[in-house]
Amino acid sequence: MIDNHGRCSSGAIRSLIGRRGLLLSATGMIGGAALSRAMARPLEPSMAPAMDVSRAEQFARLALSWINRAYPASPAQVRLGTDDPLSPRLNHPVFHGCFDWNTSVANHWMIARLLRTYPGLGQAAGITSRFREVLTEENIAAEIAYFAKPNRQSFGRPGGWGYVMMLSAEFARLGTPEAVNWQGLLQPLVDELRRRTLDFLPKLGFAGRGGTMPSGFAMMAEYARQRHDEEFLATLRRHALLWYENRTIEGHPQVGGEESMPAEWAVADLMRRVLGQDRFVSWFSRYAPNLAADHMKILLEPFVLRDRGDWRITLANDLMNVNRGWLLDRLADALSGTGVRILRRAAVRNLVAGLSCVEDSEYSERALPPRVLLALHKV
Amino acid sequence: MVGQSPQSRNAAEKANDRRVPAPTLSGEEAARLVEIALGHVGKEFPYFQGEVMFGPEDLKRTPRDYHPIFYGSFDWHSCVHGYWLLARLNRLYPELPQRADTVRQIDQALTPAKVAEEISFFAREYSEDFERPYGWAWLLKLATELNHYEDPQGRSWATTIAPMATYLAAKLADYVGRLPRPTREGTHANTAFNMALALDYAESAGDFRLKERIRRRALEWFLHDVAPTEFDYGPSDFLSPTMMEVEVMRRVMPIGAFKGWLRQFLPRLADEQPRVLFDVAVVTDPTDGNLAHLDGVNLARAWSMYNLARTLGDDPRSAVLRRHADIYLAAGAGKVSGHYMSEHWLSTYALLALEAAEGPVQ
Repeated sequence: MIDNHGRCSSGAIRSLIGRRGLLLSATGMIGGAALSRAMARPLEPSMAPAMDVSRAEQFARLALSWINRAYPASPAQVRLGTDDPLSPRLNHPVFHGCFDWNTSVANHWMIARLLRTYPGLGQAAGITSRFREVLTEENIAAEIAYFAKPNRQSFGRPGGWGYVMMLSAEFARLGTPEAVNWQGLLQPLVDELRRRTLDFLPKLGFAGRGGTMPSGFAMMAEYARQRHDEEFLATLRRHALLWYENRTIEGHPQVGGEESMPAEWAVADLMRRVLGQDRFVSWFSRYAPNLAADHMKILLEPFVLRDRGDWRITLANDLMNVNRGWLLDRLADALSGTGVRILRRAAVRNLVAGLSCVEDSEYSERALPPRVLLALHKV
Repeated sequence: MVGQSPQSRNAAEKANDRRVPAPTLSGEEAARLVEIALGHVGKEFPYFQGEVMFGPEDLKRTPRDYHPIFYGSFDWHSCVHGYWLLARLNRLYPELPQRADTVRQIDQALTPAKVAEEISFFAREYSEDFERPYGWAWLLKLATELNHYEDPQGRSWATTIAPMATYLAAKLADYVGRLPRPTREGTHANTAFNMALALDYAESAGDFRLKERIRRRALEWFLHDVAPTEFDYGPSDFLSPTMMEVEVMRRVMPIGAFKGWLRQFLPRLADEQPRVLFDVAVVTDPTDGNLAHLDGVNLARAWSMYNLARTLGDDPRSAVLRRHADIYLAAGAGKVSGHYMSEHWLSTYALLALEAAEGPVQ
């Protein structure tokens, strides 16, 4: 499916071009003379990719196929002894499948959202029956009990926890009697993770350079906003300000080769979700005063990976592009002025680059769709 | 505001008031560290089990089934560097009361059959990047240590581990070549730190391919760097990203060029700037394995600041670095036991720092 010269699978590229007429000249992801003429056309914001039913069905199909596969599985479990069970089905009767817990939670969020937003979805029955099967009182109790064993405080923290909360918000928005019931069943786990987050936050007196922490808390803030949980939102705001109020993007920003979440934009996204519009705009103007500066390029341009032979590096690269596309697009929505065009163009270029890689490997099939959906639904 | 918490700033200010008497490496301290390591390298649980399972038949498998040597110490990489600590102190302090136990522990672990099985794990599906790069770099450091042994038993340990070192050195060289940009967070993936450890191996084993690959990449990635002033380590880090970059550049550049680079990378070092480099890290919850990592930051900084002071020699910055290294060493050295989430790994970093405080030891 992948060759070693920076190209994604030809099927994905054909479908992308067929559907959108888009070009990947900036990303270097397609080669070949047939495409070279068209490659001269610049990418414009109007060419932004969008969700449609066929993409929704593609994502739902991929998610269900992986969620319903118990193996391969990576437990990432602090195991206490031979009598401490490893079974994903036993430990995570709701969020097993999909290789690991974090990925499983993200995909459950995604199928719930697809079920709500595409009423005629071909996989609707499959999604409904999955939730009917796994969402029971006992199963939720087992998910909660997993965290109570020693040395498991950090399991899924904070990214996976954020997705659990977002899943609950999706059920609430779906609003059918059955979905309301699902939300009620899930609630004890949401409450437990919310409680654990409130316990964890005071222990974080500072932030480093990474993007996974702010991004996880941003999902929680989004949940708090949607569910009108003002107390939780205020606590997240207080900590975000403690960590990032006076942060600026310095003259030599760097992005790691195995990082999948753009730290600078994840920080801005968290601030956007916890601060009001006016306060955010003024914060951002100090945080990133000159988007057109040369040193900002590494934070804006999609990464091109010439050698796609290593799955971990490749997946990080593609996730970075998708996540960057998502976050830049949302920032552009919140801002005004000359920077918006820079952000929007960069967002499209990153999204297009990442989107073409969804079916590149089993890793990308599990990891990319939920991130793409966040982007294309402007979550 | 700088990146660190008010409470860590206060701790740093207090510590700055006076010259802290730093712990020193003595036979007694060495015995204590060896005792701790002997307590965990063979302890199978608790264990962070991340090995990919292919079906129900894997549910019963234990760490030992996967890793006949490095199944203890909470996780594979900690077990590897636990053996490094044992091998090193056993060689440097031959009179320790734990000598017989240490020799027995290493000797039962390092057999050709077990080494072959450890190597074969990486050929398993989904495992080709298991413990990459941190566990690999420590395995190379362990092999480097064993290469210093001169007695027949030590020579035989070195010979036994050699195929695994050769195997992982080749994989690491491949990885360093493929990685598009370095990881700069102060976690296991920190590229500068792993390259520094691997360089020590490349020197001692005469692996010129690995050495040249790392040298080229380090220069390519870090030559034009300026250290960030708003943050250094993050809340789950155990390394200081800024100082680890210094560690690798110190190794790959001639002294004159290195001094020029340092002026660009840390232009205000003599004034104890950036401030974030001189704040003692404070663990807010020692039972939380991730948050407990911060003790490592203090020890890793002590290690690298002593090293840098030695490299700079007669230079006003050396005194600044040594003074802060003492503070960091004093802050971290006492944390090596008490909580298993630190106990299974922190001694190694205490040893690095303690040795760096004393001067170069072969």
